[in-house]
This record gives sequence, structure tokens and C-alpha cells, in this order.
Amino acid sequence: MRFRLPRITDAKDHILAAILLIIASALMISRYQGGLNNLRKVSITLFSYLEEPLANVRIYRQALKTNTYLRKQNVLLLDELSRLRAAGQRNEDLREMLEFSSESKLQLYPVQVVGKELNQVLNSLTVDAGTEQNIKKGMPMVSSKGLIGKVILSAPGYSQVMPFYNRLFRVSAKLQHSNAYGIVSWDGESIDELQLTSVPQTVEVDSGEIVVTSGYSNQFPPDIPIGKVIRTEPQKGKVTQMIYLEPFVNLYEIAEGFIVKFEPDTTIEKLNEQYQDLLK
Amino acid sequence: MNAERLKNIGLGIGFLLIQILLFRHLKIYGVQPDLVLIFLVWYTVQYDRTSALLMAASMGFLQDALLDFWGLNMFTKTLLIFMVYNYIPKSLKKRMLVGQVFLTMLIVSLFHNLIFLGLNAVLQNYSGEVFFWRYLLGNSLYTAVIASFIQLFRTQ
Repeated sequence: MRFRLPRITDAKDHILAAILLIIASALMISRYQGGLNNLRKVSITLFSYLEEPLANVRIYRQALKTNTYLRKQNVLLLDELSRLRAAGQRNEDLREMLEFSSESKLQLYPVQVVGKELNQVLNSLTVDAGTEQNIKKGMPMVSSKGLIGKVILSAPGYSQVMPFYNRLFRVSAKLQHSNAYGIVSWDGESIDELQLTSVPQTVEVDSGEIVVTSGYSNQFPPDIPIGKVIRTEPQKGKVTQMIYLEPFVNLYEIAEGFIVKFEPDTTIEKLNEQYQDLLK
Repeated sequence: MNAERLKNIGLGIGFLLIQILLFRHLKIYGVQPDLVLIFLVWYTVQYDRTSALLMAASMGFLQDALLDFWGLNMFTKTLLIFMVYNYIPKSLKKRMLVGQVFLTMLIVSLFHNLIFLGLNAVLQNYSGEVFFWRYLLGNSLYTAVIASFIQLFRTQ
């Protein structure tokens, strides 16, 4: 039996592999024990040079993604801002109304405007209260700023209101300083002016003077603000003057208000009837 | 050092640079192919074991140097070539089928990544389970697919 010793050339790959693995292990150990620092610095510098052009592409792609994200966020934030502004405005309006209802001596019923017909011909508003809430025809509607109109139709749950911008609307009013009274109406021409008629030319009227309901007609309670004087014009061939008012309430903006549970005083009504009978 | 060897080293460095600069950024769900491994398998098919071992160690070293791994790839690739050299089909006369290339690369790649992860576990660098499976299966499959594509478009 012959025994043959292996030659080095037979095992050269094994030896080479072992040497290479030992070198690799040495590198790993040195790396994790803080060695090779200078070599690592060189390799990192070289790697950075190689990566730099691609990094710009990556940054550009990232910027595009960020841009898309920010545009989406911008739309969402604008939407949120818009809703917050609307909520803020509504909050302010409701606070004003709350303050008004707590200070007012009138019997008020809060309503929301659920329909608006402001087409300049036969303007009307619809509110969410009716006969079930004891709302009756003729009751005035007000907001915290002033008079809006009066109820002309009442059904269960809803009522229709004739606003001051309606040619058929009339309200007895007076100038706050002089107490001179007249009739406020709308000529159907301008959407930001009311007219106060039947005030004698002898009465001095300043612009800015406040006009309120007089209460003389027994249809509206007294001292509800209507508007302020913007200018006056003498009526040709008459002893009275035409007073133009800017109403306090913007009909196009209102969303809620109060129905004043005001009913005409029957005693006054009877006296008026008796007076009319006497004249016959 | 003859011209052919120089050409092969240049080719290897080219593969390495493409891997570092391009394929490292072409990740799909976090997995990336190893182009250097594809080159090494191709080289193993063409040349003897000693040359393949030296090429694997050199490429592994360069890869480590650029990625700051220092020894990890060198160890993995050297050990891999040493162990799988005899099992890689070396029929130079017949062009291999795409399926054969895919399967060979998948097995080699799985083996490579297993060694790599085992080594990592020893070094306690990576311990996340998700990373383990993604690296082992994901990277292996991706590498095998890329190798199959190269085989598809390679001219004789």
C-alpha cells in the first residue's frame, strides 16, 4: 500500500482562499475596532465624488415630491382657513345676536334664513319657524343690527318674510334726534338705499342721523333701528323732503335673525276704528 | 498581466461602478440586485478557480471600500466562489438557457446573501427580521432576474 502526500499545488486554491478570508476577517475586525480610519476617509471621499452627480438627481426628485406634497397641503390649509374664517364670522354674528337677545326687552324668537329671493322684483325671505312656534302674520323680523322686515305668511314650520327691499313694504319711522316721523319704503331702484318720506322740509336733517321705528303705526314696536341718513332732497311741489337711508342690515349677508313676537295693541286698533267711524 | 486579464478587471470595475452608482438606487420595495456577483459568476464560468478567487476577493474589497463595509463583501464573495466553483456549470460551447441562468444565479445569490447575513449577525450589525428576509430572498431574486436579463441580451 502506497501513501501519497498531497502537494502544495494541489491545495493552492484552499491556501489562497484561506489567506484571502483571513485578510477579509482582519479588515472586518480592524474596521470595528476603529482601525483603517485613514483608508475609510479616502474611500468616503471617493464615494462622495462618485455619488455627487446622482445626489443632485435624487434631490431634484425629492424636491418634486415635496412640491406635490406641499401643494396638496396648501389646498387643504386654504380650505381649512376658509372654513375657520366662515366659522369665526358666524361665531361673531351669533355672539352679537345673543347679546342683542339678552339686552332687548322685546320677546324674540330666533330663526334661521332658509331661503332668499332677492331678485329686486318681489323680494322675500323664508325662515325656519311658523305657526307651530306661534309666529303670526305681521310680526317684525329683526337682527342685532336692526329691522329686516315683517312676516307676511306663516305655515307650520316655515314663514315668509317681506324684507324692507320690497316695494310693498312700509314702516312708520322717526328721526332719532328730531323725532320727526315719516314712512320708510323702497323705490325698487337702488339696492342699498331706502327712502323716508313725509318729513317736512322745515325739519333739519343731518347725514348720519339714525332712523328708527316710531311705533305709531301699531305694527312695529318703537325704536328698532332701520338705517342712517345719507342725503336729503326737497320734493318738488311739496312741503316735504325725501330722505335717503342706508339700512343697517345687509339682506344679502344675513343668515339668521329674530322674529319679534309683537302683536298690535287691540285697544289702539279699536280707538282707530272708532275714530274712522266718527269721520264717516 | 496580459491584456485579457486587464480587460476583465476593467469590466469588473465597470460592473462595480454601475452597481454602486445605479443599481443601488434602483431598489424595488427595498431590495437591490448585486451586479458584482453576476460578474463573478460569469468570470467563474470562464476562468480557473485561482483567478476566480482572486477576482472575487478584489471585487469584494473594492465594493467594501466604496460602501465602507471593509471585509464583509470580500469575505462573502471569496468564500462563495471557493465553495460553489465546482457546482457552476462550465459548458462554454453551448449557450445557457435563461431558466438555467436564473436558477443558477438564484441559488448562488441565496447562498451569497446567507453568508453575508450570517457574517452580519456575527458582527451584530443587522438584527431586524424584516431586513433579514428582504435581504435574503428579495436581493437574491432581484439579482437572478438581472442576470437573466443580461443573458437574454448578451451576444455570443
